[in-house]
Amino acid sequence: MNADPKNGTVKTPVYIKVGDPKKEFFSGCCIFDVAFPNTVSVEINEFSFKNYYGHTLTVMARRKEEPGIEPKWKTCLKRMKLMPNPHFETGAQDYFTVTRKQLLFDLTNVTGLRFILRQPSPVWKEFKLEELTFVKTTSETAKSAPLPAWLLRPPRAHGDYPEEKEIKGLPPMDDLSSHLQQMWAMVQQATANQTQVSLGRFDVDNSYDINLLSYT
Amino acid sequence: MSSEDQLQVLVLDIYSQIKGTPLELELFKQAQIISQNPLLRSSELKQTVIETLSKKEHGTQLKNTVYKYLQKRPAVPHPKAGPEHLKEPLTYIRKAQSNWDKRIVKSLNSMCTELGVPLARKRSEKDQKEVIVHWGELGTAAPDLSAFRPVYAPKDFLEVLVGLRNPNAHSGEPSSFSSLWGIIQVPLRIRSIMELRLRFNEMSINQCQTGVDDNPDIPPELFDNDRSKLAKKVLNNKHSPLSQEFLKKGAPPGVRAELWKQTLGVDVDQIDQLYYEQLKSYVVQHDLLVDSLIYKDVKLTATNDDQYFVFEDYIYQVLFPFSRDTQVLDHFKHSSANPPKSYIRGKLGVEEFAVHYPPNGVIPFHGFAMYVAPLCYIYDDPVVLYYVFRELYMRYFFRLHQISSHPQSIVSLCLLFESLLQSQEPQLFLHLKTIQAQPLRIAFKWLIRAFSGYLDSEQVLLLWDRVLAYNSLEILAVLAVAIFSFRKTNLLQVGTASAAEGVLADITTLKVVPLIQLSLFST
Repeated sequence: MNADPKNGTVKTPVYIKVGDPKKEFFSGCCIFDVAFPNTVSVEINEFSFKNYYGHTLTVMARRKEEPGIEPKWKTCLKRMKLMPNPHFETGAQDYFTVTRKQLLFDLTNVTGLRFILRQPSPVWKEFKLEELTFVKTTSETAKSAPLPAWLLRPPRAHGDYPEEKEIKGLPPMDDLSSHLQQMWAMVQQATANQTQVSLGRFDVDNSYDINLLSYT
Repeated sequence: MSSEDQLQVLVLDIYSQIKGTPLELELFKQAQIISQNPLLRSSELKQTVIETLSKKEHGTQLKNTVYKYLQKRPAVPHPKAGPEHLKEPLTYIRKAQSNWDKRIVKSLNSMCTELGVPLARKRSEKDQKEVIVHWGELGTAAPDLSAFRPVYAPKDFLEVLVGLRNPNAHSGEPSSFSSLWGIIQVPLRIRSIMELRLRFNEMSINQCQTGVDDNPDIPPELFDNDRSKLAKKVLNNKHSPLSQEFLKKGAPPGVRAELWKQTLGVDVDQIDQLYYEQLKSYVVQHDLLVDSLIYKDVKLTATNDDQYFVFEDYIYQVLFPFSRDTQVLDHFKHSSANPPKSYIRGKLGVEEFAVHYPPNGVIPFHGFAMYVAPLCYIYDDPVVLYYVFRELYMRYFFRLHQISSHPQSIVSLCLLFESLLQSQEPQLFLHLKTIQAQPLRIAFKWLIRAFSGYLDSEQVLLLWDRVLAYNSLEILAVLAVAIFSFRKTNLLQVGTASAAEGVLADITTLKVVPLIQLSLFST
């Protein structure tokens, strides 16, 4: 199992229109599908996105069924509120992550997702989702890489491996490394105990001579 | 992130604040003493240590520190959101603030070039001695300021706010059905009058208030005596949330100093004294252009004000060290603005020599000194005054001159003012709009200075009591509406914008608390 964020292919959003299709009239509803090419089906653990003036989000999923049964769209997320109030832009550009817990059923064997984004307020010109990413586990299981042999080698007793000559004037390697480890631990402890209070110096090399401000 | 993870992050954050402070050391010592008790069973050790500690003085101190941190702490950002999203979530507002930052930088640069003075330079030995000698009377040591002018005035800033348009909203377009009636056109969510009534319910008319019921004409046994007794009890408790709750009905003048310190979590110890001395030595070492701007501002505002001119030197002793305080930079993490950057002379573009200018990143504007002035009535020690001011600035005042969609930002306050006035006094609003006297153009100067310099100083303090108590600046907009309502009869009779401004030119005689009560709770 490998969890990696991959992007599905997001198809062009369709804004639902009412009446004469030539006339501009927003019904306040936008639909787009997400497909996952090159895989039969996927398992999705969570997905995140940045909202752009959408009010509620409904997500439907289509799952791989037994042969002979027509796959159906089923709602897996119903009217999740993205903006506290559709007419006011507070929270209109926030980030969201939808996890397993929020979904009505687990997204396993998924062949496609359909996002239905609604914005009942006529105040906004456009609404959409941005930066949509999925964290999914594909059905293939990756083998975990075996540990390198040198790590598995048992700690050698002093005097083994005569081919590795001892360096004169130095204590045995294992003693040295254990001392080093101790020192490293002490350093870690010391850094962990440092305060984050800065000294408040603003000059560099005792100089704070400035002529003009920089524009970048 | 799950709520448990969030809690974990929060605990780590708070711990990093406390780590290495004298408080941590003291708590550790206490815990050691408790754990040395031979009667203690090891299974109960943890529980007993926590329980005993929380009952002691240092336990309360710890609670206060955590409370202080929680009050200032922004919401936990989404892991995908960048740091700029934390500063300001709406892209176009972020852009507007960055344009405004650039404009200020440009204006400062052109001032430098015109006057031929550098932004910062080291003082000569002789000058350094001069500053030390004159520290208590810096007002007399002011340089020639005739060529300096404030970088911007509230009016310039208002124009920028008026020009804010959401590119994704129809409201920005002229003659659109959804455009707002006021001059601010940003569709932010603000509280309605009902929500405000609930929020400020302790201020309702049936509840006694300091600022109303402590009037000398009212016998003190009805309210004032009990209030003072309660104040003493609260002070003895030394618990921040308690002091804050108490402030909701105002602070009796005698105990305000301590109450504010407790509420803000300002406790000036020896380290703080030392830090202030260090800042002072920085003032002595370097001459900044910002100093001249502060001088100019104080001379134009506080020195000209018969309530505050006596405090002129105090204000310098706060604002000069303030401009050198790099800890102030912290507030930029959750504010939409960015501190101006520069390079040490001769090292242009070399990252190791990049510095912030001024060291605290705050460029004062016309009226900035008025954030300090009313505090001079409460604190006589400039060091305490300094820390209280710094805390107030980093909690509240920075929001009054930055473009942001935060519910406490000046944009939201302006919007709240306009929408409240429309719903409370529709006739008055329409009248003023018709005679080209947009109410916000009159009220903006009050809001940006948090009414300092416009009201009587005692009234300003009563107002700021409520700002601290409710941890919110919204009360400023409510008061501005209340003042318009109060002068409604006169305002309805005028026919020009300048006459309307004249009606509201002097508001020093107004009493803030009854006005707010009237405007919020009368039906």
